[in-house]
Amino acid sequence: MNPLLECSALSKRYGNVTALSDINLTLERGKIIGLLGPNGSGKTTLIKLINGLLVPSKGQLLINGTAPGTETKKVVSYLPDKTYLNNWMKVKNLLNFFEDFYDNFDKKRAYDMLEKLHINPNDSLKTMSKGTKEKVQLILVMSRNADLYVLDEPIGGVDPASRDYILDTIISNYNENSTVLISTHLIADVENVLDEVIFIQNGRINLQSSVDDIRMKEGKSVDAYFREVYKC
Amino acid sequence: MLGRLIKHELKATARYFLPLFLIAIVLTPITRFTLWIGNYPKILQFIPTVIVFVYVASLIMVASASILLIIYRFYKSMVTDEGYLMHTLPVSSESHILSKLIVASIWTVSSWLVIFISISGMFFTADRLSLLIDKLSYAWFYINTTISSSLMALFIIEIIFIVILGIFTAPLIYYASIAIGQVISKNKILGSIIGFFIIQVISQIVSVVLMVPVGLYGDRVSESANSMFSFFANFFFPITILLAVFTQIILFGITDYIFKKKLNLE
Repeated sequence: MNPLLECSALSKRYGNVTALSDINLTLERGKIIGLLGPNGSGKTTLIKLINGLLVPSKGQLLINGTAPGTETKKVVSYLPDKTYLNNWMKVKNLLNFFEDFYDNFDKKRAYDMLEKLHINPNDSLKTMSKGTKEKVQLILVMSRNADLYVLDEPIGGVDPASRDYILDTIISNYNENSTVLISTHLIADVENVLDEVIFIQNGRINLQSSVDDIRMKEGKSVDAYFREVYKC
Repeated sequence: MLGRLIKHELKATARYFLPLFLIAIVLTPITRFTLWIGNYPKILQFIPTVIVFVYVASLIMVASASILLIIYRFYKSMVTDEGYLMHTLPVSSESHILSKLIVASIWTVSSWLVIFISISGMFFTADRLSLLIDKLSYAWFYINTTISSSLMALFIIEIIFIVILGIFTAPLIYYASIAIGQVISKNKILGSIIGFFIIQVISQIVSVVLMVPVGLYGDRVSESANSMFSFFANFFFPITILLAVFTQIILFGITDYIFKKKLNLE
């Protein structure tokens, strides 16, 4: 069985700027992984490469042994750090849209989550606050039975009370064959759910380690360790 | 998947087009009735003026809306934040472009139909219709007796092809402009405008070059109707069709290539 995600000598340049250089990375199945790094470190570039929104300048990236394309998009569920939903749709229209395009979309699960977060499926997006829209996006993304969930800043705009529910949702919705990759600055908030972390800086990977190893070796939390490594 | 894209695209655009079409259709009998009443007292004479103005404005809206909305929809859904959703659907970029193009064509043709129906409804009377039929049948008779029928058939088929291809060309030019725009400039709208001008300049140069052989052949065409028709049916139209197909393949290819390899969502 091919690894879930494999990058070898992966590089991405924008003109003269190198966003990612020579990344070698393998992600296994059944993990929740934090992709941690300061602003401009290359997190979003890596995520866009995984989703086929960018093409590598050098090296390769494989998901289940295949380069990003129609096949990989079926098994990768992606939450961008943008509001990508159009304002005129109602929540229930969006659910139908996802059901139409993704065979692995579980509509019932989506309705359950909407109910838990008190979001009315008949509301249209334009009446919603930014935080509520983020919740709707996250519900759509987590209601798919995907192999790889890629969440770019999933809890940034959401209030702390909903954060806990969302993190719970993330943990309870993935199965042993799927992996969740979370990019975030809010390390303290997600630390407890992570199995593994990747530290990324200036387009290079500094560290890939299990959370337990960091705690054992460094004797501190990931949050504290991150602050030490990236001290300005 | 293409079918689902088309269905979704139709839904997303129908909410603009259908109300617009409805307004134009509803205004037709109202305008006609207002004009039919005739003699308005001086103080009420503004009524027919305003109604006719609104009616004409609605037809102009229908005529121009399709191309504006075609541009707007493509821009919004493919290269702004909505692009994050569209480009991560498990759908090829060919299907995306094709679905947009098909829906754009459906609306273009429907807006022609709406305008045709509305204008016919505005001016239709039994007398005018029979006059029109008379004129048309005379023209048909005249053409039939002067031009060989196989030439005529070819001529008509080619014209139909040119019209159909013409429906696709404009959207494809705008699609390619928008795709080029987000590659060459941070300001996507400015970039798209530049992209549009680049495409226009290149296509102008190509058509000037192609006009040379057309002109040379055209010089030898005699005045007779058969010779003129044969010039169009056997030479000019086939070149036009080939050129249109060739242009469309290139425009489609540019857009497709950029979405696959050079996508630049902020």
